[in-house]
Amino acid sequence: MGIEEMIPSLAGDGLITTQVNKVIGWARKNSLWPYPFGTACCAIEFMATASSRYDLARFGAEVVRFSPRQSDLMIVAGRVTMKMMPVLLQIYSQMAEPKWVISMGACASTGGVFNTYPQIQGVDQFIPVDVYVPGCPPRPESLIDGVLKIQQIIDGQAERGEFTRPTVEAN
Amino acid sequence: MTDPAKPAPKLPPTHDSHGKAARVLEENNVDHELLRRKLGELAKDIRTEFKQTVIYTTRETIARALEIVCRDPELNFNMLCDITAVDNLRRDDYDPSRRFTVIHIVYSIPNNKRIRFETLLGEDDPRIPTAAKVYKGAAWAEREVYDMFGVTFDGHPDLRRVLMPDYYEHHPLRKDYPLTGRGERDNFARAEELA
Repeated sequence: MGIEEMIPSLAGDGLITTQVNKVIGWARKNSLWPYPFGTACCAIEFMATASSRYDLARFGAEVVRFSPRQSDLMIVAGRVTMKMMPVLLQIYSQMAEPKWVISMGACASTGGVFNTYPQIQGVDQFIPVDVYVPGCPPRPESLIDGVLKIQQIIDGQAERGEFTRPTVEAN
Repeated sequence: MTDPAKPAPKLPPTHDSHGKAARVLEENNVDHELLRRKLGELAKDIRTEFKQTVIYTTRETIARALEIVCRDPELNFNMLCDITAVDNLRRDDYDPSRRFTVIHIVYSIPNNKRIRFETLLGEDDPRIPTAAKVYKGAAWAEREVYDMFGVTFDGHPDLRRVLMPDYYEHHPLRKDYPLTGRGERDNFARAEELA
């Protein structure tokens, strides 16, 4: 009954051949536990993404954990100041491997409009970022697309570092 | 979009916010004679600027003047609104002996009156006595002025930075500090190096 009938090889002696990486990647990508490093309005948009209307649970990433030790996806959502950067570094280092990072929005990715003395001009200077989600703040659809790109990285369809930072034209 | 053929609707007089704001400011003014009588030598320079009562004080007179306006039962300025500062460095008539203006704004809740105290401080020695002995709420406002402008408050109970990190070296609201800082924001180790 059910899923067994869909897979012919399970109907016989119940064996299926695959790669270990594929199985582990499949399990990991469908149970991402995000850690929301929310410091500004992007965090509000993250809440909208996680709750019922946009429902991040459809992609297995609804278990938001506020402990870095229980999560494997850090979503940096908002401005990071030079007073906050040591905190971000410590929390990032407390996350267990494997871990992935989404830089959500203009401020986390590039500093945004805040080109001022305390404002970090892109967290990727100090922590490795896998996916950048543009927007100010990004719409939930954009963040969901970012999570799907993280899933591509996890199950090997994309390389780490494949999604690069958006370039800003200096005038 | 407004229709150019249609004239804008005239607002009823109750929506005349400018006139109301001006009346509120005038209600807040304090009688200069009363202040001269209470403060005496401490308040040589009392003015009404932009419809607001301003007393120009010095480093020597500000603490005593604040104490009198707070404690005097007739004046009864029992609330400290704010302490802030201005860096005059970029002014046309700049003079190093007038680098900073420290501003105390006090308010009398029972009388609905307001006074602004302005104190000029020199560049080489920006010190002023604390107001925290009279108004307890002054302590954190003074910490912010110290953090942002580097003005030292003598007798302050705990003069530490309040916004910037403790290891920070500059006073960022000074006009000679660059808007994008002096590289502090780029000065962290990468996460891989810390691990």
